[in-house]
Amino acid sequence: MGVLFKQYLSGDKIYTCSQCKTHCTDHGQLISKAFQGRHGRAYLFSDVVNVTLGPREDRMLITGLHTVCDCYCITCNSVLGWKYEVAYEESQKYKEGKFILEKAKVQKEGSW
Amino acid sequence: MAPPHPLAVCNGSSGPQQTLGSRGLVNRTEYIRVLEQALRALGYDSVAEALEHASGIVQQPQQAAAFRQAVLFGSYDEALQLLPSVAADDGVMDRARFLLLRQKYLEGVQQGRTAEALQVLRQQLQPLRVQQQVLHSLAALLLQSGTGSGAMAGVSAAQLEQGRAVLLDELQESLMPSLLIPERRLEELVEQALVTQLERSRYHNSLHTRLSLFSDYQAGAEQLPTQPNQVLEDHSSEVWCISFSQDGCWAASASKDGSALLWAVTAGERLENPRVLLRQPVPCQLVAFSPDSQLVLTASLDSVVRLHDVQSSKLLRSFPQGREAGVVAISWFPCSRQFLVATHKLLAVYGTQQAGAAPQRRLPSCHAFVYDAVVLGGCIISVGQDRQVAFSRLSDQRVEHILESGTVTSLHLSPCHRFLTTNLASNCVHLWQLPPGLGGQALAGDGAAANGHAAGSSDTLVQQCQGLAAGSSDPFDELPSAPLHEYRMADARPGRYVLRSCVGGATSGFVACGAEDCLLRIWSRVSGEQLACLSGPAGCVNAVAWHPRNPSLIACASDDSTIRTWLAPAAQRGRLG
Repeated sequence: MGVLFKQYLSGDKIYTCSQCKTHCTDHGQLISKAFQGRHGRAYLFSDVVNVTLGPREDRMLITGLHTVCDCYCITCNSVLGWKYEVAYEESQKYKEGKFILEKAKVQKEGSW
Repeated sequence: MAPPHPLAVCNGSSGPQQTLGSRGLVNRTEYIRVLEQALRALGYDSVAEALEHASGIVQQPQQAAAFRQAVLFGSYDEALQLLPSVAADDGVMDRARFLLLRQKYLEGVQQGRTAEALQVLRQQLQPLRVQQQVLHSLAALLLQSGTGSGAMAGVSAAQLEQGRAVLLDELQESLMPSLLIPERRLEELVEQALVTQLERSRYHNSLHTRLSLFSDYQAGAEQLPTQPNQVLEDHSSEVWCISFSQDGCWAASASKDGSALLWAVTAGERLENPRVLLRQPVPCQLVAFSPDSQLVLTASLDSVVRLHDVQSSKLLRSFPQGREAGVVAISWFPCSRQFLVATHKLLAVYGTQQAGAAPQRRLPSCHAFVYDAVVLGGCIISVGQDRQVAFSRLSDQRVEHILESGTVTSLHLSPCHRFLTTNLASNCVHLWQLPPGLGGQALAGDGAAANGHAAGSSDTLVQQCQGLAAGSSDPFDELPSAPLHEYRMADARPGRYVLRSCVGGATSGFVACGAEDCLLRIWSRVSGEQLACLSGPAGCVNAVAWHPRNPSLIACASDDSTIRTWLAPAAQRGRLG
């Protein structure tokens, strides 16, 4: 489908997709490690690259009702997590526009 | 002492109205004076004089005419005497004096009258308080000519005349234009009007335009290539790149099915006779023709760059880049004997005739990761993950940056080397205007001759001096800080693929780019508006190429495994050149 454009991140602490090693995000974008995804622990990041977003859907999560879009790795199309589009409770508004990546789906590049 | 006001010299200020033209912008006196100058320039002196008698308006006052004559005949002393009466104010008189004396000195040197020239230098130029550097370089010319005396002696009358005409143009800045009308003023005004008409017509795309003074130039949309011409289905998978050779006789395409095809462009503007350049199990990403159209490079996903001959379509050399390298760009130097291969971390220069497979030269890259690179003369333009477009000059290692607003996925240089388009990941294209002379001289050591500094040649002598006085500026200091235009594709969502745009058309007047929504858009380079939106491909349009010699032909490579071409309707009806 055309030549995929893969962005590369510079820095020492990079998270990559566990299946295809495409760069996803950087340690500097990490906001919190205390989240629960569908398959265990998940991290909250402010910005992620090399992902495409699926359609918006409303989901009832542990913290309440949210509108989210699933994120897919552009190279291997595996679901890495989701992006918060709208949060319906005031205390959850800080998550809007940020990404959740599941710990099982990403790995650290190199040893750090 | 201020010179007399020109209108006080001429009469005829009462009577007929003072402004002409439908908008009342043209001053009648000026109009008649310019007409008189044009008549004299055409050789009709008697007609000009008759006009002066009849209208009562002289072209220029006596002292201005005398000054002009003095300069053109080379009697510089007389010109110096007349200077105070024609100069605009005292401030510029020094500069005018310097120019006159310099020309006198140079002519003396050229004609071998060195004693006279020395006298000018010592007694007349010295007291003018000119910069020491300039005086020294003028003196150096005297020494140079002394040694190569043979070549100095014969300076033809035509060259003298030319030099004096150039001097008059330079002096214009110091003189009041109302006293001494700039040379060829009417022709200059008419040409300005014609150029404006050309620029105003958004669709202007023909090589041979006949501009007439009788009616305004109108170019219609039939000059844009919007009529589908061919659909070539010779590839079995997505086509990723397409390119025309500089001489316009060949086209090459690279595809995901691992093959690169070489097409011949016929006189009937059709791409025919595909020959296989390359067939590999891994997709072929890039093709690039050399500037002399004899060689073509292909790059595949197995990180091997291959060199092929165009006429025989045979493989000449291969340059493997290392297993996980990933070639992002290949680009030729203007000499057609060296090319640049850019991988994610490295820019390397190779020669076509080199012995081994190692690069001739490895260049430091200022980006952590390189996304695209292109060669412009002696300068390399590269773009990387830090959103900077870096210009690095090979001769002195100078590097300058332009900051882009988003991540750049690909670069394209226009054939005239004046414009650069950058494709952003946010689905838009930016057009940047590059300062002239950015490429500069070619790479040292490739045998190309440098700019003519041959000592002993008489006309470069004058050129050298004129360059010294003017002070040349480095184009690297004049890089733009903002793009000229931003062209948006319909989709606002960030795109996933690398799309290649191009600049083309008769005067590089158009920017074309394909998009993921399967449409090919053409924008005007001058005004920035979208002129055409072509449909036809059934997949993402990956690359677009505009024919460099024939502005009515455009081709695109698409994900539906086709290469499509479009022609301009005016060309199909045989009206365009």
